[in-house]
Amino acid sequence: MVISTSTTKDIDEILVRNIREHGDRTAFSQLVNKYQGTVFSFCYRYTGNRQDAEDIAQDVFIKVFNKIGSFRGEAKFSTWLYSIMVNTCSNYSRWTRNKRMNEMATFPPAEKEDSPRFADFPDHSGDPEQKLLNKELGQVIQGIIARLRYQQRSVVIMKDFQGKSYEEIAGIMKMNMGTVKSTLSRGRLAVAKKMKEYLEP
Amino acid sequence: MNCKETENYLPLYPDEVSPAIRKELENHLQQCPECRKLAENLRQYRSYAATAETPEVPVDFESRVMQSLEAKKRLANRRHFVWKAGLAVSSVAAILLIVFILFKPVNNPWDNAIEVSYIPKIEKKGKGSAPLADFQTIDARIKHLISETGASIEKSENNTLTGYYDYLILAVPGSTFSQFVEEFNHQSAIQIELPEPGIEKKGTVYIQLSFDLIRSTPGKFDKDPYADLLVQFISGRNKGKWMIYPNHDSSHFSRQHPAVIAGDESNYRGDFRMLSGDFNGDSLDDLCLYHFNLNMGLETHFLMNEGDFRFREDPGIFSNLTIPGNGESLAILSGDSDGDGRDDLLWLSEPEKGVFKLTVVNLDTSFSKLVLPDFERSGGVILTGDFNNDHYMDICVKYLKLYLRENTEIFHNTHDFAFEGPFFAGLSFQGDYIILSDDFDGDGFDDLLVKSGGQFLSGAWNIMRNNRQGKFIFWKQFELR
Repeated sequence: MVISTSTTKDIDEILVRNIREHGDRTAFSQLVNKYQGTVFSFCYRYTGNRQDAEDIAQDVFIKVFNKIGSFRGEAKFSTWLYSIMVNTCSNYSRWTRNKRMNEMATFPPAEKEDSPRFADFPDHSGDPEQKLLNKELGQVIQGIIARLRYQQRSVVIMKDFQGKSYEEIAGIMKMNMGTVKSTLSRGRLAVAKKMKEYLEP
Repeated sequence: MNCKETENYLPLYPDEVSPAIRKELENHLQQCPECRKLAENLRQYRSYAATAETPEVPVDFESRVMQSLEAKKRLANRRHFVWKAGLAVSSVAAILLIVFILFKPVNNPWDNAIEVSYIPKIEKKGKGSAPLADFQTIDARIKHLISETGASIEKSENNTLTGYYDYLILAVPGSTFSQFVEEFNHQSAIQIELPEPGIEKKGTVYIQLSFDLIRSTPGKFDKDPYADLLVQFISGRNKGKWMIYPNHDSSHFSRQHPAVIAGDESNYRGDFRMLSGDFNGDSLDDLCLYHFNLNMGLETHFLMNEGDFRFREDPGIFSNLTIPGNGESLAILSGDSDGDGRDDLLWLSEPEKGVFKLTVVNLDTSFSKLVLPDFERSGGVILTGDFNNDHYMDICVKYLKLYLRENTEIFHNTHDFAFEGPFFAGLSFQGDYIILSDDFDGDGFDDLLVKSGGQFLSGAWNIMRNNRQGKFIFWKQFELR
């Protein structure tokens, strides 16, 4: 007996087809439900700010819906969606960067110390002391990541926090695998060096 | 293996390096405490990243996406309907228009339309440093205004260039209109004036808020020795217009004059930045527009000043110049680096971590490496200008060290493609500002112009005059209208 099972790819394909051909809102709602976790957490890590992450993640899905006619099915739907996610986040960075358009330098500004950008993550680990240490370390790391260079930031989040493969990231970022690896390496090194500045008295 | 090589491999240690490299790394780590510290940080980071909890998605996220989609669809349908209907009954519409003009309908909601330019009120906090105002503050104010008064956004045009609005049309219920006016007048630097003060409005009142955002560059655009200001409006009612604010008597910029761009000026409305410089040596400053192209690096366009505030395109100057590199660490500057009376183009890049290198384009000559510590994470500003009146371009750097006053430095051009310094220039500004350099008082020494409130046309423009010894002293404040 042959048991037919739908793979993730198949389900996405069916949903996408229904959206494209019939404007099926329920199908789109299912896609949102499926990918919102990954998209939101990426945006959150990217911006370090919950409010911005919500706005950008929402923007990502609106773009996906509007552009779905241009999705050719050559790559996986998820790769296509994540490319939109990465682009939308980098436009957000351009947004903040362009605030200083008339200035000659284009680096994101350092945060003020009382900035609410380093929001708390839920933490359910046991030992209270360890918990506090983890929380502090988490805040420091999150702050550093939100200030990494755009490509490094995207690659670091996808690889280290979301566990995506080099191959998948290469498809999303439209880079070759070697570039992904070297970008990741530089990103991690930048994080470690900045940690040194923050953690050492 | 040395420290440099260790840094290359360490981020991929232990699982993604070959056994031979791993062994060499471990040997080095045993001997080098610095690299050991780095390795420990990397380990902590990766262990945190691997176990960090995924931030929770807001409970109603999915429904908000769907609502937003519906709202956009309704708006699109409305536009579609208007277009179709307009096409079908255009002749009837013409007749109706005449009827409309002759017999104005009683309940036309646009009877209550009010059009204003939104200028944020910038509160001065404390002495000395510039007032703080940024896009987020203004955005928050608008959201507050809407939530407090029951107003809703009827229509908005988003300026993708700035991520900010060109304009917003707000619908305010007549019952809360007086509250809205009070809130608006409290928060905005310009006041809504009621046609009939004190009279309660019936129905909905429509308010169009325009935002005058600009990009600007100073330059000697006319023949006198005082630097003028050139402004292009990137949003609001004047969107796309170019204006020059001439300065004939050291720092009165009030009288505006339109600048004429020969050719198709709509080519220059995109996501570009601009700087001025006298590239052809005719003593009139020209314009260089540049934008970052992901594949090619920086692309440039030149508009040459023909006098009388007219500019023409000139592909001949630095023709088809593209500057390779990563846009994040690239900056482009202009200045006469060799004292020949013609401004050169320079770019700043970061070939090594923390080392910013200046390269002059039209000479194909490089400056010796200029190390700018803390520049990379500072949101800092780098400017060129002749700060010591020797006709050679110098460099001014402003770091964003939040709690330090002495955070502006000048590097003098040694005339030998090297810089000496830094010399402290004593200047402290915080918040959202624009900083520009040119000779505003005509004494041959370049001064600084610091504008608070970012890219809004409004906000204080402060001239910090060069005291001829490389220090900048507050001199004048003015406003552009």
